[in-house]
Amino acid sequence: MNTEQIKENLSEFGPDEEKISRLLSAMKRVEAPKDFDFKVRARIAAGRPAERPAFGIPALVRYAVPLILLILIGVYFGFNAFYPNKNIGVPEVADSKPPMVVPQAAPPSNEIAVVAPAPSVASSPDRAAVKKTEMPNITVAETPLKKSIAINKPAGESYVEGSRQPTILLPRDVNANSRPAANTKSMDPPMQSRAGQMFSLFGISGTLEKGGWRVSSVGPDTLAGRSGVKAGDVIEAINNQSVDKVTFNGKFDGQSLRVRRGSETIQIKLKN
Amino acid sequence: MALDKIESVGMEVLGTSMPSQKLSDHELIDKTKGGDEAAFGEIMDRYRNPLTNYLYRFLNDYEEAVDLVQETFVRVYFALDRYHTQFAFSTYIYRIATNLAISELRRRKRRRLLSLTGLFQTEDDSTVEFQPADTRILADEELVDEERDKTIARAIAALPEKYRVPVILRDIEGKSYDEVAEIMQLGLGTTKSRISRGRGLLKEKLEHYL
Repeated sequence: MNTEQIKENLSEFGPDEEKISRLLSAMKRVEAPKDFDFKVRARIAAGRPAERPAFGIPALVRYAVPLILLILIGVYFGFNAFYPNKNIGVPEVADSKPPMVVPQAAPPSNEIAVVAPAPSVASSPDRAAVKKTEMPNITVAETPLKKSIAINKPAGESYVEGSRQPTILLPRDVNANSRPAANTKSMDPPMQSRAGQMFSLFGISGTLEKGGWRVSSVGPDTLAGRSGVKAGDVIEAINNQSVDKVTFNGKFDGQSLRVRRGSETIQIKLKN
Repeated sequence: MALDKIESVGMEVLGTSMPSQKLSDHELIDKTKGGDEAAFGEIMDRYRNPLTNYLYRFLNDYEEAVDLVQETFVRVYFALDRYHTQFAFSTYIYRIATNLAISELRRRKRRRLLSLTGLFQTEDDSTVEFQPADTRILADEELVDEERDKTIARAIAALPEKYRVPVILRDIEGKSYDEVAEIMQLGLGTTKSRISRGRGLLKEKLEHYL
């Protein structure tokens, strides 16, 4: 550092800074190695300097990958926060809602409860196997409301956990959200539920009308399907007893159905 | 910066009597653009030692400093067409060297963060000091000087980046405040304030030598 610069320093800064400045300027200087020019020319001959990528990863990937991962994690947690119990992958018949089997207006004595199938059936993951064995295990019993709920809610477990238990035999249309069909104003809601439960156990789905139960679809490998019930049929009676008057006293012992198919009325014998 | 000032800096650096001594940096660049490789060699002669010393004090690592100065010249060579003579060449080349050194420091930091051993390594451990082989028996005075230089070098290396650059440029490389401000692309007031602050920090560490 020349004298002028030191003077400039002294005029602007204090004596301590000037001392530091002198100390630094007194340091030994290092020089470039002798082969410096040769190496520079060799580099120039090799071509333009390549940008040193950090860790050899292109800049786009370096920033895009963590960003995408963050977004995916955010979406996952966001989805779970908004839809906590969707039970994706659980069979449709196993409704996750608490199974309010009987509307509260119904007297407890007329309540229908479906006894849970034998453990061997319940633990089987194969739905078809369950269907084949469901009929012999079905009993219709008069049980109080609390007991019917207890079927799907094992002791010490939540309703959600209970809903994951084998409730395959429970009809889907029987729950707290079910509403009577528009054309069944005259029908007793508990009766509709009971009939609906029974027919769904046969493999029939449909709606109650005045004069019978109109079948909208029939499962092919079900009691009704094997016996010859078809979609469009109107089931008027079970064992010659009108559908809206039939009662189930502990056990279903139906042998035949009276069905109106188009303009004719036929008798169908139930085949197990 | 005035052109005559740049030339005087260049002349000071050169310090040898060669035919090209009379040529300014800009003239040498023009010759290089015209295909005169010797002119580029002349530019290297002028700036290789000051730049090596500057980056060595900045990084406190001789090998890395030499590598980055070489890289600086390579970049200058390939960017000659884009260089405008309205800027002082010395400012231009120092700015390139400074940017490369800052990038290198940041890269080192990242490496240290990623390396398990680096987590427990201090700043001093990570730098390699240049110690050329010397078999002579050193006199006491030389030993003291060498030790003092090492201490000062460590103190400089420990300065934050924003104070280190202006202090080295000003006090070690002997650049004027204007030149330092131009190299750092800062205002004159900010530059002076940083230099002052950097010296203050050094004073705390080098009290013993004052």
